[in-house]
Amino acid sequence: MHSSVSTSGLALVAWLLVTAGHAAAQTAESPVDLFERTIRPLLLDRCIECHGPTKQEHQVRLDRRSDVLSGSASDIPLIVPGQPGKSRLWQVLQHAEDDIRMPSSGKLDQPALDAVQSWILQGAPWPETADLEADATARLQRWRQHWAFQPVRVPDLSTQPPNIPTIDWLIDRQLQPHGLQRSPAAPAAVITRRLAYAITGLPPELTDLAAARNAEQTGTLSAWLSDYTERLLAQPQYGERWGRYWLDVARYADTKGYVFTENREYADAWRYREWVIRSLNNDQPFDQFIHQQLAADRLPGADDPAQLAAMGFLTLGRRFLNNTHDIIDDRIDLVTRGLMGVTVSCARCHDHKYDPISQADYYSLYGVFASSEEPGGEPSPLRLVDRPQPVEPVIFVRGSPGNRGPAVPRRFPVALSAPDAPAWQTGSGRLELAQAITSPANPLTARVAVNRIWMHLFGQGLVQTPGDFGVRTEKPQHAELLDWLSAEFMASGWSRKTLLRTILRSETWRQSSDRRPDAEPADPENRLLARMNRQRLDFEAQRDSVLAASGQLDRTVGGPSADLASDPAVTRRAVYARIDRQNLPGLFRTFDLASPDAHAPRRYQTTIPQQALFYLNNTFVLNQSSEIARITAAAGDDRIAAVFAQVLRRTPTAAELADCRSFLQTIAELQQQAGQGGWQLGWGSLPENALSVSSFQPLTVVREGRLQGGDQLPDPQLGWVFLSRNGGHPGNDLQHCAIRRWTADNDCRVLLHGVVTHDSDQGDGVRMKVLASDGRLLAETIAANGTQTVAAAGIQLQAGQFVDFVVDCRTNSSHDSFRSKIVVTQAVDGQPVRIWNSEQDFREAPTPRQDPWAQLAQTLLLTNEFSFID
Amino acid sequence: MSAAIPIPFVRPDQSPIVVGRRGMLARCGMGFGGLALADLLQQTQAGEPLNPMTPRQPHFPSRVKHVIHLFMNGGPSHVDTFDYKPELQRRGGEKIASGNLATERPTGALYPSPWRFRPCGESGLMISDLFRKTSAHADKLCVIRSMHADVPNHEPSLMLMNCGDARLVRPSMGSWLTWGLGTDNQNLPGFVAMCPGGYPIQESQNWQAGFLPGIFQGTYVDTNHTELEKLIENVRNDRISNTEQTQQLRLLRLLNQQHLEQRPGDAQLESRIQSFELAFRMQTDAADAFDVSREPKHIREMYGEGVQARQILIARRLVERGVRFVQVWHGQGQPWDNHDDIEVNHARLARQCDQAIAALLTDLDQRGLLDETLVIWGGEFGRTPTVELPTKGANAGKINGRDHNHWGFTMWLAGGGVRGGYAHGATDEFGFKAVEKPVHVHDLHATLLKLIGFDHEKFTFRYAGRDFRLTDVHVKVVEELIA
Repeated sequence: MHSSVSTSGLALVAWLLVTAGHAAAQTAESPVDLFERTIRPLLLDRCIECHGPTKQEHQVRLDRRSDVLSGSASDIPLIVPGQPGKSRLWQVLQHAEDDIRMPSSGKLDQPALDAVQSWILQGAPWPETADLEADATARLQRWRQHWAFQPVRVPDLSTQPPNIPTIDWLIDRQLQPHGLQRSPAAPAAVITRRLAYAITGLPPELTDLAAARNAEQTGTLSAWLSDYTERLLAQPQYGERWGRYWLDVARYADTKGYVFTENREYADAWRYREWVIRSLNNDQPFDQFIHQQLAADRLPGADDPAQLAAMGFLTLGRRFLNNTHDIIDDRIDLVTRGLMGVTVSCARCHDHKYDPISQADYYSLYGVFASSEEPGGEPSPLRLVDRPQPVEPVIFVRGSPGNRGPAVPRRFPVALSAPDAPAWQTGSGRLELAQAITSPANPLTARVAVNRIWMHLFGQGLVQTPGDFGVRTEKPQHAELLDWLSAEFMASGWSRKTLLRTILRSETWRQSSDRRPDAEPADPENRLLARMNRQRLDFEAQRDSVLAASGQLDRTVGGPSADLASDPAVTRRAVYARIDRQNLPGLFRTFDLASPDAHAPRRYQTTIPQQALFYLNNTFVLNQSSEIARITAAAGDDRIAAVFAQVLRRTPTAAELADCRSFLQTIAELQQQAGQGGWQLGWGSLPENALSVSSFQPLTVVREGRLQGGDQLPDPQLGWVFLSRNGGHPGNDLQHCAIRRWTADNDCRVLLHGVVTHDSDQGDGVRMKVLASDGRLLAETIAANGTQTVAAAGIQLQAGQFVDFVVDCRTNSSHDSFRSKIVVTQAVDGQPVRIWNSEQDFREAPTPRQDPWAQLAQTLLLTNEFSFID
Repeated sequence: MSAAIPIPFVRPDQSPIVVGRRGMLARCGMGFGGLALADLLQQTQAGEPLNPMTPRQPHFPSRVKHVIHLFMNGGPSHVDTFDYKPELQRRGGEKIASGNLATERPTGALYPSPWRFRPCGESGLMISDLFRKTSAHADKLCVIRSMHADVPNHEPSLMLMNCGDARLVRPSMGSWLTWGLGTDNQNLPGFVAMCPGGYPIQESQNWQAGFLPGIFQGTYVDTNHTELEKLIENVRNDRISNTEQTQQLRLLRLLNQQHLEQRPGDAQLESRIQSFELAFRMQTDAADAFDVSREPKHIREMYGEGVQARQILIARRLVERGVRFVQVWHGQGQPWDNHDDIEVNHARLARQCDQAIAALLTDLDQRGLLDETLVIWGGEFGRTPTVELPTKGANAGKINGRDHNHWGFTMWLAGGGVRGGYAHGATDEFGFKAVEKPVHVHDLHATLLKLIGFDHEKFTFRYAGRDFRLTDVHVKVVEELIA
């Protein structure tokens, strides 16, 4: 619908050329009079309500000369004096079929249209004088004053006392006006745990916790913590932890998303992850880290597949049905928002609403990516290369590729460039783009990187919107600190490990996270950092920690992606998860994983029952709990303490010991009592008029979804008797009935409901009797070529008592296949609290019970203590 | 909301909660009955509710609490169902003088509907015999005969209908609504997307959360399954009985309580404690909600046989339990996409769902739920009034089907606040293009949001420096659809 605009616009211009002289000649009054007498009232009557001082719909304002003449809509100037056809205002007045129609209340009448046309043709005079160019410059000036676009400035440190680290001093300076002080240091064990998770995403070793406590007592904690920090930074697990953070930025996935029926797998996507982890572990300078991800093909080592894999940063996005423009849009968004905190992609269709990003800036970058291509194959399928002939980009009017506007050079966004910055010349310009991003003159990149690292360490960034440093983002409370860190970061050669060391040794980071009621009135969100933030482990840290607790964690570094939802469980670290962006496993959504659809500035943090369901019921958790029980089995009397050490890495308190002992005893008793609670499927004898089954025998052989007596069906002894998920078949006589037995595992009152269907129109059907184990006949029915129900309400049972649902063949066992479903509902005060359903509960083999020790271990895994870092 | 209804957590004599011990919070001892709204409304430091599903109010009061979207994916033919075109019937076999509009594939002469249309209800809405049973509710239906979309292809049209954008990653309508309103039943997902046999095309993107938190994505349920654990993840535990789990939760609460006592007043910690109790109840409630066998026989018979009947009945059970948005897809792939054999296929498809749709409207009405439930029926577009011509590799060349048609098609609304017995707008004389009072998909979205209580221009989410909304610019609310 947009594509025909340019042609109709051209037609309009041609028409105007023909009629221009005529229209002007018709107007006798002076153009200024025309404005005052006709145009101004017209604007006031028909436009100003939506485009005036109170409302500026679509950012169009028609009451002031400056706004009208400098304004644009859909990237076409509102008014081009002398040229109605090029004036957006004139276009929308036409009420063309394929365009916006203004005024929306109805088309202007012909005399009014003639007047507008005439006024524009005569230069659109407006009797308030205003210099259009000066206005535009002033706007750019306003933008340029935005804090985030200012050069990084080292704050004045002349009054900083020598014994206080800069971070702490700058934090203190913000606290003092509020009469606040930082909190005391957290206990040694807490800092140790924090360090382990902050650097590696894994829990600390017991030996390290012990050493930390020991150092605390001997007054050598500070030295010990420095040493511990170094050890952690040297571990390859550091790169895995921080690599995953970067994969959020890079919207990493192993698949392309929906691309019709073509193959969705990215070949070798994991090699990009490999490159990221290695880069972090080698402490590759962050500027080089960016250069390689954008332009590894233009740098020394361009024939090295491992280096070229860096460009997976750009190439592993969603493929949008292979629409090139959308793929490029995704890359522009990733590079600008992900690396610099500016949102350029909204300038695809119109100038940015708030930030100094024009549509021309967008298409300048568009030209860079349009001039790059994916050759595929060797040496790396992840690489980009420059096209032999770069694309000279043009603006796509309103984002529509069929609507080509003026040409723009390939260059960096103007507002972020030096006034005389030349257009890019080398190939596509990707390398120049990378260099401009990391230029010391560009203050955004270091600030964004530092802020992100701070966010991961403190739980919230100094700037709360890590992907948006635009003009609507307020100057942060700790702007000086952000600048100091950014300056240090660049001065250290963009070393991420150095930045981590600096922050992690600060007293600010090591302080207690206990609440500070005294600080809350002034600082409810803890922006001033009078205490540390308590943080919840993210999905990866939680899953890795469960595996660490069970001793199952595979610490192999690197390798292809693995399906974390598989069973038996993948025991690799969660950073190696295969991410299918089209069908993200429910688990990932449940635990707030970053969406792989676009650069994710930060993760959401939700608390929802589905997370709890995972911990309560998922096979992964149950299996790891069993493993913890197994490896602690040899601990004898100290087994509870051993489980605590494994999971919570500490010794239990006396009260906890008592609670756990009592728990273990209760579970053991319940399991003994219940024993056979729930369903058992078997056969037995129920003679006519008998009120209890004699000789109940379980059916144990599984064949094609049936539980039967032996390998063959019919069985030589038992005949046709079998049971399946949704039905079965009785044996040949009343001594071989098919029986579903449901046993109560506690004293309860239940409602029984059963449906039995005999489908065949031959034979005499089947009979279902429902008998309680104390000899009560609860219900009875005969189904013959039809469906019957049995029901009984308010049945009181004691733990261990059971109900038999007995199906027999009546007098004739031919054509006796039946379908059945039984629902047992346990209710309290008429409200269902538990439900057993013979179809849903059907299992071919009895599932092993979770042993009490495994249940204890699982319960510890569920604790807040396990999931939060103080 | 359900949390205010005093439902015992487990048997009172076996309560996993010990009141008073070591300063236990009293409200925990009351299970969910004591779980006050204030607790659910606890906020994080950043001011976001810890439980993002906490019920919230829209911009202005609305009766509508739930939405059921019956998605006839593939594109049902409007000229064979709800858009009666006498000229089409009269001039079958003729070429349209002005030529056919461009659709996905070439089409030929006018192809009259094989079905009879009758005036229905007091309103006299013309409805074909394909939806004979649904037509009994004609006076409840608000039929929009002038829908139009942007392109004649499934993928972008599905995205437009569901997410308001044809290509880019944007939240779906159900995600927007659960984000905006939360949900009334914390024991069930707030947004459920049901589709038997597998995904529609474009797959889970149809109910994606986009840039909203992932939890607002629709929970997908393959209604071909009847086993609960295949419907809701992690809802069952084979190895630990419910009674044992009760004991685990009791121990958990003791341990968490000791932890919390040293860290008083931390809303994150308390919220996570509560989430385990919610989860425990979810196990029972989900089993109950998805089990249609618990319906009385006359209700099951009213909906009929088959998977459509089952999933539409589940939809009612879900909204009855407070689920915010339920999308019911007809089936895997694009079942209504009848390029060939439309007479046989549309008859089969309508037969599968007509009775259940009629039953749903009756049932909601009888339960007093129709007022607060907005029912939406339609596909991603309609079909051409002209016959599809053979295209090698694209159709079977039988010349007895219809092509996609985004120029004009029909959707209908019923229930929550819509104007019943009303037909809005019109297509041209043959049913090709919306010509009277055209309603774009964006306009429909704006109108649906208005019905639910939102000003679509103010219903925005700040992302990547921009305030996004479900609707696009240049959108109008169609006031005539609102009662």
